[in-house]
Amino acid sequence: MTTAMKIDFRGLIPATVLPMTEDAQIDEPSLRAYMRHVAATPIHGVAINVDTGEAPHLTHEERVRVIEIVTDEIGDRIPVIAGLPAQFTEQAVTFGKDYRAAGASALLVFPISAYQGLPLDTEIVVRYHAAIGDGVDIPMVLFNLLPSLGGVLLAPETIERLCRLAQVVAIKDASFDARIFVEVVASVREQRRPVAVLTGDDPFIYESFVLGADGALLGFGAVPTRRLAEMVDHAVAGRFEEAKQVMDRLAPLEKALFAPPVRNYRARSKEALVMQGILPRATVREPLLPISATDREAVRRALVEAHELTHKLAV
Amino acid sequence: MKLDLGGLIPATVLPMTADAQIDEAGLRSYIRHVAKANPKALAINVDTGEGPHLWPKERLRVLEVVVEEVGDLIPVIAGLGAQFTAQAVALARDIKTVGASGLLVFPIGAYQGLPLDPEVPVRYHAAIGDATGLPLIIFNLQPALGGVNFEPETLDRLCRVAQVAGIKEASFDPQLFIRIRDVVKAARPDCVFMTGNDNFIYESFLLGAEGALIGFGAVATQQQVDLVAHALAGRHDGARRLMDRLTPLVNAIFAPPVRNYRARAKAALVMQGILARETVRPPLLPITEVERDRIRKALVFAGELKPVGRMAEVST
Repeated sequence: MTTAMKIDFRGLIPATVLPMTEDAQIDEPSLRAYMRHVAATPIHGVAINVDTGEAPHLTHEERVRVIEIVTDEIGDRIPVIAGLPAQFTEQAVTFGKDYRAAGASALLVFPISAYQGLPLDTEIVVRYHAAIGDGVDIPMVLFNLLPSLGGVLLAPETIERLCRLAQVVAIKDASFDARIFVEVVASVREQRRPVAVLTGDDPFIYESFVLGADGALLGFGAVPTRRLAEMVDHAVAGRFEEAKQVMDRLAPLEKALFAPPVRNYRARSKEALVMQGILPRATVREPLLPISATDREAVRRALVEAHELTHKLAV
Repeated sequence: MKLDLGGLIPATVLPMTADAQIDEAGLRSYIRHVAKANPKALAINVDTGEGPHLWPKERLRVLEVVVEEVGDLIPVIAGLGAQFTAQAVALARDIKTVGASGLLVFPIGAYQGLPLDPEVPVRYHAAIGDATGLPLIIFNLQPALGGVNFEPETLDRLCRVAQVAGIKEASFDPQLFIRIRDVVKAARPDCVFMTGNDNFIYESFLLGAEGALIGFGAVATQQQVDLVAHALAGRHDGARRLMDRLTPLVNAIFAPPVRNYRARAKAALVMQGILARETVRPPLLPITEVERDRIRKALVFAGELKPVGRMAEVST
């Protein structure tokens, strides 16, 4: 693919799981089938090789392969946003070029460990993104991530400087803090360039739109993809009552999938998709561990409660 | 080579060329310099040595160069920074082949988010230990620096992983340091309890440290080898005197933002004529002249730099 597909961020971009074989390798036929299933819903893109897709636990070559498979399967219809987890600047540029060549439409740039420790010099973050923007020349989505999940909350002036980079097209906020979310929206709106604010805040997905979100990039989108996409479409169109109704139905499922410890949400999401008959198995790769029978029951109950699984199917 | 963790183990910096590539000649002469201080071992490819900012192949090359240079005299502990279990096992096998005597096992992203099921770190360490048989050093690192303070149950189980030989405790919290010491010693009396707390190096030994694996050891190595030897022998006056001399230097090098400590340590070594240049690899940034001045004064105070002649020579 030579020309990156234009992305309309005013909708849902689900972060998808990665189906695996029993020995925790990429299950290509299942990935293709799952992608066709996801692509049949009203989504505005897919986010692959992010935490939901276990990208931190894949080799670089495997991530390239996942991009190739997904773009081959749905890349003609759906923009593919690839996570860029790297450790240092030169590596990020090298990886980014490979992901672009494999067909990615945009990159979600993960925070790096060099951001750790306060104060965070704005220059570190800006230079890192500028190097990727210049070196790869691909649309970039910024990532504002809660420190307890290994990220960094970017200061307003850092966000403002990042938004001036030509390749920056959106920011995913996963601060899990409504006050910060509002600040992020304000920082972005001050820019002359259009930059989309995407909610990644699972605890207040619907409310994010009341607070000014343009769209959503969410791991929760991996499971109730169609209904979450409909919820976001309602919210984006200003039909807040309808949006709220859908979200209220989905809320128990969100709580069950993202219950502490949150790292298990990948195994739980896969279990849910297995129960729905969408995936053949729920295998996750180590260091992640399978969930317990009790956890599995909680997921099943939540699916039923959210009307994502009929009782008959559950047996 | 047999590991004895009971003393100073400096985490060394990685000399770089002007374009931020490995400076092999600079690395060789720096490592020879550090080895003259007779540390118990060297810790390479850890944060001090910019391990997270090297390609896996570069880390192996650094290990190879260091082992070639001093491997017959000093055991080399390699940092194991990975993202997932199978990757860690593959990297550890390569590290063993090149000649490391032990591994410092870095926390992984999957530890993030509470609660941390003990099974996650225990299986991770056990997989590395089983695959290589190399002595492992657990790394308890404060969350603000991207790590995890392990819960007592997790530590207890980690200490019982057969290949675990020691723990680097870097909570930067004396109270936690004591609690962890008690859990570790109850679980495995032979697990060497090492301080990684640059903010209370000397005091760590009053609190039961049996060794020190610290990035500060990259600079003023000889004085720190002596400090730790005094402290372990119960010669607290001698240890305290050395620590007092070194305190302004440790404060200058580890001042906030702490990520700059690599550039600062290199700057100190350049002032001492030990390194050719301060270059760090991006995303790290060079330091300012204000920071350099503070380091220079602290080096003089520590007796690591002559006040007039040498300073005039090296300052630009």
